[in-house]
Amino acid sequence: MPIEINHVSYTYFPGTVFEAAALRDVSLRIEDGEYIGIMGQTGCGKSTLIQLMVGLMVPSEGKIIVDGKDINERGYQREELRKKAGIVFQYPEVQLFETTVEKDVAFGLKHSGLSKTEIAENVRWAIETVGLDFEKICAESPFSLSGGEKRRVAIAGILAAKPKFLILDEPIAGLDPKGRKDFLKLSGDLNADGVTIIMVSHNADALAEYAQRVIILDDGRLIMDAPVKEAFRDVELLRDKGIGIGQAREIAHLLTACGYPVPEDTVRYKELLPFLIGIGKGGD
Amino acid sequence: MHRLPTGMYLPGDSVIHRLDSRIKLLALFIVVVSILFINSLIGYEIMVVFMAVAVFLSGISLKVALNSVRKLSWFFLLIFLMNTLFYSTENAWFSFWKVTPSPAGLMQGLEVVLRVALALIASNIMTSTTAPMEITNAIESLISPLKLIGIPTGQIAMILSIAIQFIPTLSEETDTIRKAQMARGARFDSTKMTEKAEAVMPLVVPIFLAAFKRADELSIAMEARGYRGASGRTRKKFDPLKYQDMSALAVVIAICAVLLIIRLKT
Repeated sequence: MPIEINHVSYTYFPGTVFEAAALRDVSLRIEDGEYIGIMGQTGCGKSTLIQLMVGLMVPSEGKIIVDGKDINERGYQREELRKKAGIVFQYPEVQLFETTVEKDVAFGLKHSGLSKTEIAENVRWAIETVGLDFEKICAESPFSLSGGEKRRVAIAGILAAKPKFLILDEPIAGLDPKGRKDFLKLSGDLNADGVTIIMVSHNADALAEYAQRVIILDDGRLIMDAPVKEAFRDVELLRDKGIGIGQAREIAHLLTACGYPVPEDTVRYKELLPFLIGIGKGGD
Repeated sequence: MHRLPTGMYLPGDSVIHRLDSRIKLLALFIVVVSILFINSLIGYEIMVVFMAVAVFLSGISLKVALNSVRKLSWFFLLIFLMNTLFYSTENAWFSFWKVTPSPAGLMQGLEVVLRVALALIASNIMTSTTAPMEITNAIESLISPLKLIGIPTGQIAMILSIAIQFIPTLSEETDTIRKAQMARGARFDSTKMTEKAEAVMPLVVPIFLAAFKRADELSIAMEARGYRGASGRTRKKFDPLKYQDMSALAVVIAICAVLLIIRLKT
């Protein structure tokens, strides 16, 4: 289900002293099965953009078309959209509320129309997919878990509905290195299974590794919508806009500046490695 | 949070914005009390004109000033009807069971509505032109005489100011949690009663947890910075009352004195 965003603007509190434009004339298109990274400084409109995509907010101007239908038109079935779209907010662990992990993960399926056995299957699958032991954890209270486990359970609660596209808002913030790695791998695996992934992150290395396309927002404007390699090419521009560039890209950029023949589209560690080995062998 | 809440502080630089918050709070108190003892048409006329001037001077639009009244219009309609229908049995136009609409009731209904509306507008002007922290400062200084009889006014003010500071944070948190639950299938907008009741838990539990967590963190942060109780706390900013503040208070007192005289004479 492709998502089309057509000249969308969003203004908070129009007509008051608090008026603030969060998005200005943004247009983009997301195809099925893509893995997209969204970057930008705090307050650039990233969160507004992703909330508009799933109909949690209504644009001040412009249209959002999912599967060929305007989601803000009268009579549009928002519930259908929400069944297909999953959104993981920042610190999703705040949304836990049930008495057991199993019930909490199953919460979103209550109105799905699935049978009891199907729900149980989905819940088990979701809990195991986020890397938890279903038998061990299903009867525990979500509040007795560690921070990392809580986040996994919260994410399982979203995956249980088997969304067709998944929006992730800073999902790895505050996780330990292993948690990050696991989560990124999970997002990659889901994407390989055909789930469209839209990930908001400041972590350029993570996006370079997994995303195919990167969208950069600056003060509500879309300033970049390009494949990863192209998006991270202009280091100076990114620095100027306050966007973090990944370490791999940074090292490649420095090496280029020092006269080594590293291509300017090196963004991943894996691509960088042969050059570093080559330089090491060369004895420079 | 897509619409501004009624009575929210709107920064500005009007005459009323610049008045000292203690004076504004005191004036609000005097105005509300005098609204209660008005009992003549001329008294209401004076009050309405006074409120209109105050709205004009505050620089907030008439729409914003009347917002709270408009939001409560159903409540106003209800108290108006209750008064008209049940207030008096004298000269009733007709009588059916306990329902006796009468001219006296009609007048009483109008009067109650007008009184509540005026008091609402007055408080709206106060909260729209005064930052919340200013209001708590004003409350602290106005209740400080109670210290003499052993009431911990400093701590009351501290509680108030923390509570007010947390309103935006908690409302933002509520908004996020509501959206998160909606995105995973909660139905807050359902019209079915059972579904509505069900939808409360996923909202209330996380909000309470978040609030307690914040309270815990705040108390640790305060202790870490050497908080030892609110008594004897000094303030960073101290504004002595200005000439304008005194004259504004004088005007309010004068108007209310006139209203009192009218009341006593009639």
